[in-house]
Amino acid sequence: MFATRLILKNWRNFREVDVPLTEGTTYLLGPNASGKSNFLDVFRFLRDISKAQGGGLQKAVLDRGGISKLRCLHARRDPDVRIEVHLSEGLEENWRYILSFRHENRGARRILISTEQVWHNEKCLIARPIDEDKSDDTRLTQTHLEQIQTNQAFRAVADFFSDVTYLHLVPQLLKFGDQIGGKRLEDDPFGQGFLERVARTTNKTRESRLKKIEKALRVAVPQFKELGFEKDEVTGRPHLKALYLHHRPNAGWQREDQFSDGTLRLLGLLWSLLESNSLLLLEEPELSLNDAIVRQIPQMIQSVQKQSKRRRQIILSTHSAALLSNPGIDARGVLVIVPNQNGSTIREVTQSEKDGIMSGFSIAETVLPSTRPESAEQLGFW
Amino acid sequence: MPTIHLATEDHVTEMVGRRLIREIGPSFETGVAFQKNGFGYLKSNMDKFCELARRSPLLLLTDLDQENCVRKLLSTWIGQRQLSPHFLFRIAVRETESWLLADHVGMRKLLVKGARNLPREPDLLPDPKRKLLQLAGNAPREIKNDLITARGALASQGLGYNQRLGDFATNDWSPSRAASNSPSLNRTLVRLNELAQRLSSG
Repeated sequence: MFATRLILKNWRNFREVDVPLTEGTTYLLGPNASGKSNFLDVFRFLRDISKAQGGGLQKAVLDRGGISKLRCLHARRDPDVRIEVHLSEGLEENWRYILSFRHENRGARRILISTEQVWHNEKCLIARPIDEDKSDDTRLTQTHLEQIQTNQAFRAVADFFSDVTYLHLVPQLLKFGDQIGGKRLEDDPFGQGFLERVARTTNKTRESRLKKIEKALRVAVPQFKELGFEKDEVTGRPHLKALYLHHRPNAGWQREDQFSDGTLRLLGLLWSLLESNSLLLLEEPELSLNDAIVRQIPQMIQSVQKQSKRRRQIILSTHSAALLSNPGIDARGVLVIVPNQNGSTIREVTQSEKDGIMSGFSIAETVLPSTRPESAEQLGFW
Repeated sequence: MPTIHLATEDHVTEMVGRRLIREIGPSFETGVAFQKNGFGYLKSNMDKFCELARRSPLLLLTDLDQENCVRKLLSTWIGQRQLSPHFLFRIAVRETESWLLADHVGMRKLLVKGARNLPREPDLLPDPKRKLLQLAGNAPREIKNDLITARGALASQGLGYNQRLGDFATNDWSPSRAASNSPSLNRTLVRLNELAQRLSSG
C-alpha cells in the first residue's frame, strides 16, 4: 500500500496543503525552516497514533508539546487541525483516512476528535462523531485508528501508518552511545538502536542484507573490503565490523565506533531500504557524505529496490544540489515548500520548470534555485 | 609517467576522455579530470585552462550540439587567445553519444536487439542522444530501464543513463573501432597520438 495524496489544514506551519504523492520517491525541497520536517511529521504523527504499544491520539499530541504547538499559528476562524490521507493498493483498493481534532474550550481542555472518517473505494465505513460519541464525549478522546476492536475494517490502513519508518541517523549517538548513555526515543529515529535492529534479524536475512550493503560500500568507500557482524563475547552487545585494505594485511577488523560518520549514515540508509516495504521518511540523507556519493543516492535507491522484492515508498527531504543532479529523477515526485507570511505552502514543479527538465536539465538546475533564500549572500557580512 | 589533464562537461564524456587517453598508450594517465555538469563551467574557465595547458598537456572535450560550424564554436570559445600546442580542444560532432554509437561492435554488445539499425555515419545525426534513447527502447530490459525513463515520467533520461554509458565507455567501447565511423573522433585520435609522440620524444 502507498499514500497517493495528502491534504492538510492548520498542521504546524501549513495552513493548507493538498499534494499528490508518488509510489516511488518523493523529493521534498525547501529553504531552512520552511517546514520540511513538519511535513514528514504528519506521517510520524499518524504512526504515533496507530502504533501497537503506547500509541494513541492524546499521547501523540502531548509528545509534540500540545495542540498549541501543533496547530498552525496562522489558523484563523476554523481552529481544527485536519489530516486527510489517500492510500492505494493496486488499482482496485483505494482508501481515505480523515482525522480532525481540536481541544475543548473549557474544563480539562482535552483533545477531542471533531471528525474521523474512513472511506474504502468511495464507500464510507466510518463517519464520526456518531450518536454515542455525542452523548459520551470521552469517546472522542480516542480515534478508531488506535483501537484494535474498532479498526478491524480498515486494519490495512492502521498497519500502513504504524509501520512508517523515519530515519535521521546521527552517527555520534551510535558511536558514543555508551558514554552518552542517552535516553532513547521510542521509535529510535536517530539510530541509537540501529545495531540492536541489525541483531534482531535472523542470521540468513542479516547475511544477505549485509552482503548487498557490502557491495555498495565497496564502491563508495575506498579501501573498504568486507562488512561483518559479531556479538561481543564479554558484554553480548552487537557490533558491526569492517575490514579495510591495508598496507598491513593483518591490521584487523574495525568496529562501528571507528567507522566514519559518512560510512555509518550510508549503512543506515542502505539497511532501511532493505528492511521492510512500508513508507520510509528520510531526513537529509546527504549529510556527511561526499558529493560524488550523494549524486548516486537516487540511483542507489532504485537499484536496491530492484534487487529486493520489497519496494518502499520514500519521502526524502533534501537541500543537496548533488542529490538532485541526475537528470533521470522523475520530476513528478518533486514537491517544493514555499514559505511566506501566512505559513508555508507546497507546490509541484511549474510548467517552466517542466520545460527545463524535458530539455535535459536536472532538478538541481531547474527547481532548486527557487528554494535559495534571497538574502543568503548577506550572511557572509554578518 | 606523462599525465594529460581532462576537461569535460558531463560524466559520460569524462569516461570517454579517460578511455581515449588510455588508448594512446599504457604509459599515459589522466591527470586532473575537470568536470561540472554543463559546458558553462568549461567556457567560463577558458583562461585558466589555457594557463594550465602551458604547464602540462590538457584534453578538452565538448559537444558541437546545435551549433552549425566547428570554426564558429572555436572562435566564440577561444577568441583571441593563443592555445599552447599542448592544449587539445576537441569537439564531438554533434555529441559524445555519436562517438559511442560509432562503435557498432560495442553497441551490439550493449543494446543487443536494440542495435539493429545503427547509424552508419553518426556524425551526421541531428540529435544522437535521442537516437541512442530510441535504440535503447529495444535493448534488454535491464539496460533499457537504466537508459530511458519509465512511461509517463517527467524526466529526460533514465536514472542510470550516465553510469551505464560511463561504464560502457570504460569497458566495452573501442575508440579505434568507433573512429572508422566517426570522422570527428578519428581526427581527435590523430591529434592525441601526435601529442603523445611529442610528449614521449621531448
